Parts: sequence; structure tokens; C-alpha cells
Amino acid sequence: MKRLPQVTVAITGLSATDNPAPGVAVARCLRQAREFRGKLIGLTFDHRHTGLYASEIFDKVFVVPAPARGAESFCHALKEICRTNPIQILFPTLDPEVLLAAKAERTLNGLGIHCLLPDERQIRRRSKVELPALARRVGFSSPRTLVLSSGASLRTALQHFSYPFYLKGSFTDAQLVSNQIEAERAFARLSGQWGFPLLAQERVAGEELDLAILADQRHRLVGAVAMKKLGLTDRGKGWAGITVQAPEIIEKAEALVRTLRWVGPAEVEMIHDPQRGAVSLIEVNPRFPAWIALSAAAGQNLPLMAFRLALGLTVAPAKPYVVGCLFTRSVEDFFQPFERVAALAELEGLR
Amino acid sequence: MKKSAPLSVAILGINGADSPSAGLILALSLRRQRSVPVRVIALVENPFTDGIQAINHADEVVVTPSPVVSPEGFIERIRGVARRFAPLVILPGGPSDWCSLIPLKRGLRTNGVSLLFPSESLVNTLLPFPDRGKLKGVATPQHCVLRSRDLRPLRAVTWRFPLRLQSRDGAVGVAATWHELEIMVAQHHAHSITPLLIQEIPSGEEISIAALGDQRGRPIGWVAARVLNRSENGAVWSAVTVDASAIRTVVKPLLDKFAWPGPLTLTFSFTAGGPCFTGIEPGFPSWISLASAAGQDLPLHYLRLALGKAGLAQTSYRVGLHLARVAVDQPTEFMALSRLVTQGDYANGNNHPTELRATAHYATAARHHR
Repeated sequence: MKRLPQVTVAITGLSATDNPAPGVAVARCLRQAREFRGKLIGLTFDHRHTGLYASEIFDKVFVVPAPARGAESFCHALKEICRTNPIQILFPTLDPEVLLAAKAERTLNGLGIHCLLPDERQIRRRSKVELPALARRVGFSSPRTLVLSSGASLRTALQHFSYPFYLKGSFTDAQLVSNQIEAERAFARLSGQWGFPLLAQERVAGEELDLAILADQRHRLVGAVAMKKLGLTDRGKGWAGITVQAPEIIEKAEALVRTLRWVGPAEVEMIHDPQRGAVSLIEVNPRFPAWIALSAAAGQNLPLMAFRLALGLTVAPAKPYVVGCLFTRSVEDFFQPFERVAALAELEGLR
Repeated sequence: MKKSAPLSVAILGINGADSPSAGLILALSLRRQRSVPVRVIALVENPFTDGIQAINHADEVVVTPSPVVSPEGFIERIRGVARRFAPLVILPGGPSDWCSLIPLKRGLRTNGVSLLFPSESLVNTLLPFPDRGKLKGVATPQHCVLRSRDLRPLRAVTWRFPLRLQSRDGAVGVAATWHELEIMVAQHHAHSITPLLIQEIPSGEEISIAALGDQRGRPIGWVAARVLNRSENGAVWSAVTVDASAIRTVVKPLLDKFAWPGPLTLTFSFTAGGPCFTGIEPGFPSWISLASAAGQDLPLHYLRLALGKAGLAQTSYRVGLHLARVAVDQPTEFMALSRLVTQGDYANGNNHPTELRATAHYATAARHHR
């Protein structure tokens, strides 16, 4: 086995509690790969993100500004970090950070940092608002969706949809509503929290299927692993899942990657209705999913492949993954003196 | 040197998902320590829910009938486990596991299981909240223990919403309005006859105490931690051990009065006015690994006490030790799940001579009892 160059990889998204971000899983995929011998740096904007303390995974951790502070302060923080700890590869794993890194690609390259990302325009093309049209173009079904751009538009949604239906923030967050009171509450909460537009979307019957994919710089699908959730939390997040065979869906994902001219990782969320034989496209996230460790367990270490691509190395399309690989979500406890937490909290204040 | 046989402990309630249970953390903690070899046996009700989660955290996983729905079936199953892995100590995980096993205390003992449980009458006296006589001189938030769905006892005083609801088995809810409160009380009493605590939520820092009493209920050790991060579902994700000297004068007399044999969790809200006692639950808290890491291995002490050995003297614990809990996905053997479903048990590692033999009947029974 040929070992990879010794470089430093920075990974964001270290929240690792009841609804974990993908950062810790991406880092574990790299750390577990025998050919990987680089350093791992964890980046987060909140010292309470517990992944920050996973000392067996990260060599160093730093607090960076929250994505809401914009690309300039993000790059400024990275520049400071690079003075003592030069970073060669950056994996942003939160949606807003992906957009931020895509916007700042040139600045990051100037710092010697490389990412594997589509450009800003491609990222916007998979937004929830654009998704129905995109789904039709690549052969997926799409749930009926209405864009709600003002407070008055909820009434239109109530006329168009039968209960239960989903109300979604345009960026993240969704709530299934079963009556008018719930709809009004959810509408107020989502618009207050995320702003307009919101989306009203019919609920599609079927089983949820998720696909983690990786595209190279020439918009070719080099890896894909399909997973069916076996256990859901109260918030609808998967705590157990299994790899499944999905050749037709992977074919559609190839078309999606070509159409979007996508580069890098993504998660495609779908609902499969076996009775109608239809697959509805629900969401395309511009990053690896939180369950990405399953891809490595199933024989396609997609984060490692992404690392190779980001280094400019050639990556051949992956061999078929093992079907029937299971994962369950558990925890690991890490202990450290509180002074370390306090020091990181102080840094967060300074950012 | 002859290698000593592992001490077998059967743990109920090993659940991870988005709310790591005390049972899961006890399994992790006991397998992590190196001072005593321990064999963890997970007792699960359903291979597809708690069973699949226990596979990675136990040396053996055994499907049992529900102790609530089929207590005789549960004891029968445990008898088999105790014969195979004598001496066997049983350690329930969360409050609901404790509440379901305490009534079976005698049956478990007569079938060869070692344990350290409080009596049912003590549980009924102290849960969901001790009466005012037991709390003399201790500040508490305004509260009321409801014994039926009739809300009239509550209407006599003015309440500051939101209110916290807690049943005896630790189930918690928060009501923001009278309407929500009425619904939640009705929901509780629709399937339970146990009393319900209604309590105002004091502002202040949450201090949680993990304590352990010996066979006579004398406190042999306790550790205080400040809970730093709880998710909306109540799960603890970070905590730090704190110096308990400021609340020693409150905690020690309370533990003496409660005289609770076995593990117990007390919670306080720490305000400028001093500590305010907010709750009591049977069993260790889900941050118990922190107590062990800080030098007070209370779960290991429990095993010693349950086996009738003397408890070790209380030593000081490390103050200012921080726990960060990280969610991780673990690959799980499909064959393990398959075996759990079809045969009712699974042994990790290898097929050693003490491995339990198939008893698919119990697997089926457990599934039907859900």
C-alpha cells in the first residue's frame, strides 16, 4: 500500500451531540485509513462542540469565527493558524461553511489551502428552492413544493396542501405539521429563525434512502454509498442504518453530478416509494453526511478518496461497496482538565 | 500467575442513539477500567431497538421478556444467565429500569442474582419527590405531587410557567401553559397510576450528585458535577466535577435521611441564594463515567457492595475534570443482529464454553411484549 504525503488536514463541523455534524466522522475515516499519515486539525466556532475534545482523533484544535461572520474573518483566522500550523487541505462540513469556502477559494489557495468543492453558483443550484426543477431534469420525482416568501403566503399553502405536510427553512430545518395551529406555530418559528423564503412541501410516502457521493474535478462520480435508516430519533435523524443496493439511484446520481457540474462530496436524500417505483429527491447537501463513517466500513472510504482528490492525485471509480453493512450511533467519553475548556472559551470570545 | 475470572454484571437499558443512557455509560465505564476484569452482559427486550445498540458495548447480549409485562419470564431468563455466569450482579441503568426491577428484588435474589436495591416502600416514600418532612431546612422550588388527573390541588396557588413534570421512573416533560399541563397530566395518568411531580423551574446552575449507599443506606461515596450541556431531549453531553464543600452541609444530611441502599442521583439548582433541591432519581446519572475518571469509581464500588463485600472508604475526587461526550457511529455486525433475532442471545469475541445456548422462545416472547 502506497502511503500518502504527510500533509495537514483541517476539518470543520465538530458538534457531536444528539444531532451531530459530519466533522468527527470525516476525521475518523481519515485517521482509520492505514495510508493516511497526515495531521488532523479540528476547527469549530463554539467551544461547547464536544468533537473539539476528541483527543484521539485530532492533533490540534482551534476556534474560528462562526460562518455568520463572513468569509473575510474565516480566512483571517485560517491565516493566523497557518503561521504556526500550515494547513494544506480544508474539509468544510457544514453547509454555510461550504459556501464560505467556495466564495473564498482564491484567498484560501493563496494561503496554500486546497478544498474539493464546487463553485458558489453550483452550490446555489441545489438549494431547496431550485430542487424540484433539478429533480425533473435528472429523472427523479419531486414532491409538490410551494415557495412561501411572506407571512401571507401561509394561507396559500394551507389551501394547496392536505395535512400532514412539511414546512421547511430554505437552508435547514423542517417540521411536519398536522393541523392549522401547528402550521402557524411552525411558520412563525421557522421564519423567525431562518427568515424567508420558507417552503411548503407535500409529504411523500415511502422509505427514506440516503446516498453519500463523491465527484472528482471533472464532474465524474467516483464513489457512492446508499444507506437506509433503520432507527430514527424523535427529530427524524438516523441512529442506525444499513448499506443497500441501489444501482438505479446511483445512475441518477451520476446524472445529477453531471448536470450540476458538481465537484466534491454531497449527500442526496430521497424517498423511495416501492409501490409506485418512484424515487423523490428531497434534498442535496453540499457535504458528507454525519453517517459517512459507514462508507469506510462498507469498503468505500469516501473522505479518504476526497483527500486524495484534493491533493491532486488520481482516484479511480471505487469498487462496489459491501451491501448489508450496519452502523449504530453510540458515544465516546473524553476527559480533560477544565482549564483547557476555559482557554478555548476565552479564544472564542476573542474571535 | 493465575488469571482471575471476570466479575459478571448484567446491565439493563444500554441505549445510545441521541440520548445516551446511564446503562450505556455504565457498560462503557466498567469495560474501560482495568482494575477488575468485568464481563458485561446486556439485558435487552428487543433485538431491533435496545438489542442492536448493545451489541458493541457488551460481552454478551441476552434478549429477555420485559420485567414489567412478564416478571416471571424475566426472572426465569435471569436464572439461566446467573447459573452460567455466577456470581452475577445486576445493575439497572436508568430510573425506569430501576423502577421496573425493584419490585422483583426478592425473586432475583432467590435465583442467584446479587444486587443492592432500596426497598419498594423507600422508593414509594421518596419518589417522585420526598415529602416535606424529609426536606426540612432544604430549599425547594414550588412543587406539588399529583396523584390523579385532577388538577384542583394545583389551582390553589399561583404558578410560574414553564413547569417541569416528572414521574417516578424519571420521565420528564415541560408544560408552558395550563392547557399543555392538562394534556400532559392526562396522558400520564392514562397509562400510569404512579404520582407525578409538578415543579417550578428555578434559575441557576444545575449541580448533579451521583451517590452510593451501602446495604444499610449509609452513604459511602458521592461526586458532584455541574452539567454544562444538555440537549433538548435532556441528554447530558458535557459536565465538570465541582468542589462539593459548598453544598456538603446540605447533601450529607439529605443522604443520611434518605438512607438509600445502592446508587442514587440528586439534583440541585445553585443560585445566589444557595442550593435548591430539585430532584431525586434511582440509579447513577448518565455522566457517571466522569466520577470514575475523577477517581471515584462508584459503579465498581456498587459491584463490591452487591456481592456483600465491604465498601471502600470514600476518597477525594479530582475537581475540575471535564467530560466531553462525542457521538460516534460504530460498525455493527449484521450476523450479531441476526443471531439476536433468531436465537435470543449473542456473545462477542468468540464462542467460549460459557456462551449461552439458544433460547429463541424468549426472543419471540420479548418482541411480542413490546
